[in-house]
Amino acid sequence: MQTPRTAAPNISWARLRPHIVGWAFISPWLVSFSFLMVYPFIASFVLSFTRYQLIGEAQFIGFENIQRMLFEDERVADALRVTFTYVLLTVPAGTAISILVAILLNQSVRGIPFFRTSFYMPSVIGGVGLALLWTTILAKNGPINAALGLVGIEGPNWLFETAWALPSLALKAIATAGAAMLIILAALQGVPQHLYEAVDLDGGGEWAKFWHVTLPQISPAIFYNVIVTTIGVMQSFVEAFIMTNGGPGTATLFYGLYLYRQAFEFYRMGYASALAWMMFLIILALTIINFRVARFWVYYEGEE
Amino acid sequence: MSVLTSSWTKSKTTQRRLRDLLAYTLLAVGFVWFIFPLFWVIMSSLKTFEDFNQIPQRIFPSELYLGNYPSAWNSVPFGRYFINTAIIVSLSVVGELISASIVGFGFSRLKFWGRNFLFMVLLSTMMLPFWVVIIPRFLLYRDIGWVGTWLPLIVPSYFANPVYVFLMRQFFMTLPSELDDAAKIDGCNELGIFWRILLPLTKPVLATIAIFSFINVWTDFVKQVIYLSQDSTYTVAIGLAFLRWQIAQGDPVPGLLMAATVFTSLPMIAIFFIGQKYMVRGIALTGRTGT
Repeated sequence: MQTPRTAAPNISWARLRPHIVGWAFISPWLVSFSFLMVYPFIASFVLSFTRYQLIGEAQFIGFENIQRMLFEDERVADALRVTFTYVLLTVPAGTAISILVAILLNQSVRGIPFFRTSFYMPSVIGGVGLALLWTTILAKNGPINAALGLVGIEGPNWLFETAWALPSLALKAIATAGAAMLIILAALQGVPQHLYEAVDLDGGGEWAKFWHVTLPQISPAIFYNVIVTTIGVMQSFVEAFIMTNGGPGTATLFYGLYLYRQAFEFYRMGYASALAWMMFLIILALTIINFRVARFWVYYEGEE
Repeated sequence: MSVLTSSWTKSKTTQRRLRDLLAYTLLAVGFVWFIFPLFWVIMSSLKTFEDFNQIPQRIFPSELYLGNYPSAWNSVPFGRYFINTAIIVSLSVVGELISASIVGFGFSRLKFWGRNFLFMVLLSTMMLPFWVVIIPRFLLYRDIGWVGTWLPLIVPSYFANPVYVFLMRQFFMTLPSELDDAAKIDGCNELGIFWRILLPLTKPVLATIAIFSFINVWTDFVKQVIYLSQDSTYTVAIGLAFLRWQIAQGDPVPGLLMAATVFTSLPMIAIFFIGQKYMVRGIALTGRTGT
């Protein structure tokens, strides 16, 4: 009967209160994290082992989907080949170009804000509009072929020829990577001036400044860009969906497009989930590899 | 001695001039490269059908033909699609602002069990591929009867996008903690500190988030095409894709398609010019344009 019932709750309330308040503030995120992240993440794993076509119950079929995906469905191999090629065409070239353009936009000449605005602006259009814009640019009688015509080359019908369709999409991706450019520009502006002065004192030239100061200093931003664009490009969809519909043949059949068709055109939810999980594992592996390789080229202040 | 110095400075200025010349040349090349596609599309939208059949096409239309605009506007019900998109976008932007600021405040100004761990979890979810969660999400929304409505496009905005939470948190961290302490002494609780003291100071980040989410929702074709199925609910992006497929099926009117591309891109261009400053700052901070 004589339990210290009155005192204890008060003390623990005072101690608990900040934690409860804190969790209350982040609760909107906890809801979306649970229902829109954790639950779907696990559910798509479970669905991978089922056959489910939107009607009736999902049927457990063991490793059938996985076997089909890895060994029987030739389209999966095609989609993977296309997607990896697309990553290799866009990420290194896109990174190099965004570094060069960022350096150019970091020059102290008059009118630079104007150039920054106009270089970045086209990439805000995004999505379907940007895809259509580039469809016109790459048309058989479009401006690229007109320019090639001036030097006597007859340009191909870019989006409709097997050999050129994927490189054309890659060109579009590289030309509209405005955000990457701005991230690197921001990193360039953060490089401490005294480091350049030190190179001056040592009698180093522009090249020494770039190689020994600029590049190491912006390498974390470059690394971040490589990670984010690799993840993004692996999931590409809209370009192929709008510009080429995956064709000609399977020349631009992005993995994302194939997954979309399986899930939302053929309603093979189980098989599409297996495809989605394989994409997740591939992206995870690429990210881990990127982090491993980063040790050799990314410079962090305070190390060494 | 003085002669030597002056010739040295002279060579320094010539060097400087050469450098500027090189910079401007490259900037001009870049300008053409980045702006030309936009310019081409605008010019194409003013071309007649005959202009498109020239090989190679001329840059400028033979006459200023405005007819593509009304025919594009009427070829699919763009008026309704614009209204639909505006409703989806504005409700989403409001949701992103409310939820990201509340959660961002929690992660930056309050101390509680699991805070740092949960924040790391939040950051890592930014890397989770969209495709791995979309199928169960679709099934979940179907089971509660939301597929075919705008709800799957709008409601998640009210439950905190990690990228925007991160932006808010980074900004809240820069505000001095004395503000909270002073407010506490005046008898403010956490909600009061958030609402009355700190939120008014975060206008620049709120602007950044508003612009990012505006652009992202407006152009988010994938989700729209997955969740919407009736003409009356369609968005501008879907309308544009429709037009594209109609044309791909042998009704060759590229001028019309280009006109539609121009007027559906105008909101993006407008928001870019209004909020450029905030956008650039946000991209530099988060390294992305949201989601």
